Amino acid sequence: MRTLGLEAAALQCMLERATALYPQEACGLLVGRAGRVEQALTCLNRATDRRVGYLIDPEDYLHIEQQVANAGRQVVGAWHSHPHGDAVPSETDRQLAWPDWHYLILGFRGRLPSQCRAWILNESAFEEEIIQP
Amino acid sequence: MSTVNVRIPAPLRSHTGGAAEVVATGNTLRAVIEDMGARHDGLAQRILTPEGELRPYVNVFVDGDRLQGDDVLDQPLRDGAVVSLVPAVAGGAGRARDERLDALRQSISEVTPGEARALQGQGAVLIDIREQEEIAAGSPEGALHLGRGYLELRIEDEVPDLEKPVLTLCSGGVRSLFAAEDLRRLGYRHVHSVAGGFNRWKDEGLPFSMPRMLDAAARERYSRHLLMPEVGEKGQLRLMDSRVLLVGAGGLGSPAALYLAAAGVGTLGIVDHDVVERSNLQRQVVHADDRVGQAKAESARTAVRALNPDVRVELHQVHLESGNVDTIFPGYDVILDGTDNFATRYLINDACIKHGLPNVHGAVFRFEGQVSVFWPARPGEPGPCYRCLFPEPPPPELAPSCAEAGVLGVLPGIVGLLQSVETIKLLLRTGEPLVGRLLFYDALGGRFTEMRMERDPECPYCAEGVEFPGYIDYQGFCGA
Repeated sequence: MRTLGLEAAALQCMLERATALYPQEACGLLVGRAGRVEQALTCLNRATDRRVGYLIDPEDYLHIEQQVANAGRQVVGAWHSHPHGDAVPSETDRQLAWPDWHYLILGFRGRLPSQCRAWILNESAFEEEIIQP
Repeated sequence: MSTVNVRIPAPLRSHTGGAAEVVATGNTLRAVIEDMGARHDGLAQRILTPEGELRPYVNVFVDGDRLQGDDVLDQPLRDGAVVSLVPAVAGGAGRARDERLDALRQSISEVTPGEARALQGQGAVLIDIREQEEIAAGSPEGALHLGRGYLELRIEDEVPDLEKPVLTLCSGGVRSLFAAEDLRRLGYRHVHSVAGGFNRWKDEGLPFSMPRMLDAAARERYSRHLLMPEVGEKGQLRLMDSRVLLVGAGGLGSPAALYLAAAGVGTLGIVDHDVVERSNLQRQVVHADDRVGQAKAESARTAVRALNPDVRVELHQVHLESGNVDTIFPGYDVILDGTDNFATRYLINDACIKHGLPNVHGAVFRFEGQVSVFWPARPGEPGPCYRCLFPEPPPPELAPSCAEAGVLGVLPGIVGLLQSVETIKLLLRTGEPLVGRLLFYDALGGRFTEMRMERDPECPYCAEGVEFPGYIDYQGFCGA
């Protein structure tokens, strides 16, 4: 199983945002390099029904990617929360996923995020990555 | 030919050797992607579907403007344009139902109603899993009716072969997907869901019928039967269509009348010419103290109607004899012998042979009882008749009736109910009837024993090829 490095501050950022937006899904982009997430950015969720989906506007993405590139880093994936479920990719997640990108999902128990798991698309199926500090 | 700069999103840079921007040529985006694909292995496949459409997670910007519409790939590109391929970052938990359906559609095979009909013709089992009220408005011809609620519990009785192709059908093709998944979990290997369900089945002009069904009251009354795969709705309807003749409304006929009525046997004929006496009430539970003096047949009808008013009761308030038996027996499916005398027992035996009817026999004596089914005309597996065992009645001094010998009041209850069980089995055509077997019950010893009986190949009444010799009137010389 592959591993994914995750900075504690990045995890903290995601947990706070996901908790604040409950019961809506929170989302954002992951910045770093392949195999390591150094920073989690939060984005506006532009989905029509934010309780069951997330969407990062392409223009928001372009803007962030440009800024990240200017700082000499790159976008390596995306994160979002499942306020009513586990940190497991849904069918929607699978259909819209990019190959080779890291996907972090926060699952909830009650009103608080209880788990964070990492996934990467291999062919058409998600494989879990082991998160390391 | 335009030359454009294409900005490559991070996830695709493994195809461009890490380059964030590449130069490509082409007058449309499609041509540009093909050009890039020719030089960067695997890149085009990440952007386009195998059918050549833009993948849903790819957004395209040209000179900062987002391209939208169905013809994104074919819009003209100016020379020197900057094309940005931008990931649509989206997803989410999704609606649980939609998620499940999407997943099911990927794993369950769906067929059109026309294909289902053709598969049915090749031996596939079509299962209509809708609720009873829905099925009442029509169901595909030849479909099994197994409601979704009991599908898993009953399917193995109906379709024991896990290799047999099974088709599930509901009204619109959604519930049948869930049902198909359940059947696959049970081990059925060839399961298909009928897309569009019964609505589309009708729209395509495929044959369907309005199945005969139990009404709500009957469904409630017989709910415990409906739960049993051996009875079910089909069996209950069969019971309701059945006609059983009880010869005698006494100790054996009493429990039989009550329980067969309760079970929903549609028509009960009662032959009895006697009146209720107080001494009968020790065992003849169909009667009541306030009906002492009333005709037994009428008293039994009162009790049956009180228990189940849907049962039709036909009264034959006559003494059964050779002169009337041929007008009474025809039309009944089963004859239940509840007599206490040999003269009538032989008459019932002989008439059942003549009319090809099963004779559910019972007899009691003090603490002992016996039950059997005499049925020489049983299709495929003929059994003996009463005469195969006892060719002639015993002399009167060896054949006392209950009135003379006494009987434990509970005993006819047990024997009459064993007869009722055999009757129901015969009507439902299920189980192993007591044909060729005589079951003894010794109440004092608390023992059941079984004796096998063979047909007498020389039996003057039921042997192969024997012409019916006529009735014998034993009344004159038998201890009735």
